[in-house]
Amino acid sequence: MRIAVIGAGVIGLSTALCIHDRFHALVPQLQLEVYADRFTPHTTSDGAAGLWQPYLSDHGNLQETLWNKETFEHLLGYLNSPEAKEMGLFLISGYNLFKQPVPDPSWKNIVLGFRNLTPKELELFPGYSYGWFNTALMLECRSYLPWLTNRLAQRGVKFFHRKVESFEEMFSQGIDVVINCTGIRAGELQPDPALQPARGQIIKVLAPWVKHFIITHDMESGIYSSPYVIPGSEFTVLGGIYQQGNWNEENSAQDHKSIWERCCRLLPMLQKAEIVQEWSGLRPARPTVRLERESIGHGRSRTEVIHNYGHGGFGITIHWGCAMAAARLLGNILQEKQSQSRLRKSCHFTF
Amino acid sequence: MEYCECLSPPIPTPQMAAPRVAVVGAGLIGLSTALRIAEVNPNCCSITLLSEQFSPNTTSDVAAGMLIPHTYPGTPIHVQKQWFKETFTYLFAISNSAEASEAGIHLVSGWQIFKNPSEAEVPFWSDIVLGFRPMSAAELQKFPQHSHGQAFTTLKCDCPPYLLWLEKRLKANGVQIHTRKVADLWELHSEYDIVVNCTGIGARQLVGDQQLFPIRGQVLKVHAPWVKNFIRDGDGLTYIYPGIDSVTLGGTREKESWRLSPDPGTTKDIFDRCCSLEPSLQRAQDIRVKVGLRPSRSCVRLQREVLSQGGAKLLVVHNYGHGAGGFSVHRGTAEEAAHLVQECIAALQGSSSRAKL
Repeated sequence: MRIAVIGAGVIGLSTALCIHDRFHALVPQLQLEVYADRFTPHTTSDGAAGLWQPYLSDHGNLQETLWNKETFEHLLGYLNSPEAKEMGLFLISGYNLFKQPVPDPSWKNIVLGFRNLTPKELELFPGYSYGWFNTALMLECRSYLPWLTNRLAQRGVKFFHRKVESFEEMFSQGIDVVINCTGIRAGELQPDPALQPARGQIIKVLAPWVKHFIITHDMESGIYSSPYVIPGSEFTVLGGIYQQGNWNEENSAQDHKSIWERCCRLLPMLQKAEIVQEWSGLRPARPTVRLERESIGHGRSRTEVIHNYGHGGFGITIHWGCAMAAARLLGNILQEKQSQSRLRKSCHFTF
Repeated sequence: MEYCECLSPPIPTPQMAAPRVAVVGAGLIGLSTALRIAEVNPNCCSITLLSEQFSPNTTSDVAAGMLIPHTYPGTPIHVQKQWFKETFTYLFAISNSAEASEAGIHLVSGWQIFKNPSEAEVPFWSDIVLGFRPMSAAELQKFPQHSHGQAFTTLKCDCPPYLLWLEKRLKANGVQIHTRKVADLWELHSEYDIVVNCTGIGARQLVGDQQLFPIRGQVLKVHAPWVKNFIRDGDGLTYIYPGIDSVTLGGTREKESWRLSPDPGTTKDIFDRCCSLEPSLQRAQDIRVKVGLRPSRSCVRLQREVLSQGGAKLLVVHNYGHGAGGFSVHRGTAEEAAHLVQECIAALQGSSSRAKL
């Protein structure tokens, strides 16, 4: 039973690990392979700051809220383990700022210590009159993806550095199930007009005196289009760009200026911070995450694809919940294949 | 930041030269007191700072610099609260300005945790720090050995940056700084009119204060930049304080120990205790060990004294004995010391004009 995961960002690697965890003992002939043309540190996931935080509203999508919760709790379980540092996992507290009162988010009881900001705290942020404080998690992909890769390699999962041109290509090589974790480029394997880039740009600086994340929100211009500051283990990420439909992966001088000015206005001490790097990436935005099975072909040559893409700007936040859901779908497929094979065997006997 | 308030400054009379003030000690208390004196007396006296040690070799450099007050048994709570409030307000403004990184002042959030519910009372300073509240059950899960906790956001003064920033502000205010060991306050009587004694633990020898005693603290400064929150055990002995370039792990409280050299057994003990609260510290690098002697006293000695020999006089203002709580109250005690200095200046002028009658 050969299973190919296409894509080696946070979604692809975590789905592969989840599948291996769940099935390697149950399906002895399980052969897991990962195909990608970009590996860490060149994936979209590597550019993300790594803060666990869903969007402000789940738009009634309780499924996604549950996956977010499962991810948070899964990571929390690793927090006190010796693996945490290698995974790039640590607790971080911080602020979400608004210009008017807003309803509490779906994730208020998932994060730790969620509360409203006091008037004195709001003095720190002129122009913002309302906000939240909570403790959440950071999961830095430049550590997490290598950690996932090492775990997978230790378990004998094979990696192939190449671009997959079609699902058919995989099936013709004898792959039984394809797990499609191709993020923003899923449309190249199968057109999906619902999947659109939401371009982001970030500036990485050295600002080790910043210990809190600060995310501002402008309810009119939309998520992540307002300045944010996220301190990592080594660098602090400054951002605030969310451009729908923009496929350009090049850094823009105008966006740089916008990020820098707005973040320095938010946190004046950043003016002294040394700029280390600039990066742009395309969030794989979709109205909902595409997490479903699809059968390709008919009869004996029917093959299965499990889609797991379209996680927008919350891939890290939701990844483990989605990995488990994808693994469940694979479980269904494996069960069906097993019943089919028993059926064929029993038919053979009666004949 | 401008502090040009001059609270009824003494006007020098034509016959009297500007009073000469010496501040002895260049730790946190000496530097911040000298600065406050300069700020409230901008044109009225000459100020010189004298010290044997400067940053990074002061007791203050060993401390983490967290604004979490220590309670002095000998001082009314409302006074301690006032000192803390003034200090917090002052530093809060700096933390929110472009100077924050140079001054080494930054906000940090975290938890104070308790094994015993009776210890988890609401402290007098809870409404001065930010967002003070009890920890939720979910937050306490990270600390299985503790049953209660308090979460809040406070400020941290990283040293050496803060001390170096204070030195820079002193120079900008025209304060002269000299390296000098003062063996006896009286030796200064011919060069200075007023001496401000901010010698910390050194006051034991310098002025023979038997009420002052060391409480030895050993700490580790480690590289663990993923630690963003502070953790403090309510017993005050085990703490993890993330700073700009290092995390301070502590600690010990050894009464009457004058030993300045690090103890390896203690190092291991501190490391183990901190790792049990924050297991990721096992991966900490670049461990440096430091020792400081907290200048402990039942209350801070903030008072005037007149030394005289023969016909000569030397006015002294004492400001020492801050123990474990120096950072938390330094601006407040500097303010009081500066007022005492003004009283001294007024007294000098009083006697100067009396001499003319």
